[in-house]
Amino acid sequence: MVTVKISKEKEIVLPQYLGAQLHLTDNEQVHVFIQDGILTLKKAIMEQKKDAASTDEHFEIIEKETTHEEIERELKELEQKYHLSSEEFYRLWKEGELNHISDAVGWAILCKVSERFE
Amino acid sequence: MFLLIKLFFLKEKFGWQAYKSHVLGLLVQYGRRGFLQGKIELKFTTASEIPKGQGGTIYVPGSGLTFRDKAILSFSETIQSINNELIWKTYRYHYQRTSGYYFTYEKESTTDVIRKPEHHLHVLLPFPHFNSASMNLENVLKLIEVNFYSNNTKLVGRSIYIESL
Repeated sequence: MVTVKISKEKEIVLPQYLGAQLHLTDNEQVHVFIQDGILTLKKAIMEQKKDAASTDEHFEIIEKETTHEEIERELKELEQKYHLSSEEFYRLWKEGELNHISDAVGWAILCKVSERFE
Repeated sequence: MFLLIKLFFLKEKFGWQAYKSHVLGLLVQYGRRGFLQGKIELKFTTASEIPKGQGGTIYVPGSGLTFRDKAILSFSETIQSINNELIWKTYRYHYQRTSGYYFTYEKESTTDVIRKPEHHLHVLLPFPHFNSASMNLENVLKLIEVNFYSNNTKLVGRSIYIESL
């Protein structure tokens, strides 16, 4: 385990990304513990992002590019499931109806991002 | 040459790619701090009215983000970068607690700015459309944090009686 010292002016950025692994010492230097040797601040942040996206069992982020064809396919699946067009769902949902449908929030956001409703 | 390099970095600083990274960093931050739980699918797609590479739509499918108390934040943002400035073309931020209490900040096109202002807020009911300031994901997350998850919050746990319409 290697101690990496990062200059004081970077401290404002660090707590947002490094969370529990950040330790402030009496002389106000920041020490970040990295196993693979000395890393730059940028690399240290990336290391933490990678860790957050892949290994935290309670919290995980997956980035994905999607297409409007995919969004349309998901809308059609919901339409078939509830025997209701997305246009009718969106109209009723905006009037405060259909909140009892478990997929209502997800369906509404698909309607919002779909180019069908422009 | 120096000017071109400088312009490139300025553009990137305020551009679509930079904003996507910003949103990812924001969610990692809230997850790391224990506000968010579970698996988040952060999706990006194009928007037909925005030239490719200059913007697009960000959203989380399904119920959106799940907070530690099972409250949710469903959101979408359609953003265009114009002259190094980010323009929110439309957005929707819907925060809902397990009790059913919700608020929604939204930007939509309108033909009646009194009945339905472009930037508006719903609280508990789909009507009325209260006029609101322009919002973004970061501001909404901060608003949720201080009102529902800080130690001195006065909202959580209160009962609210709503007269039927």
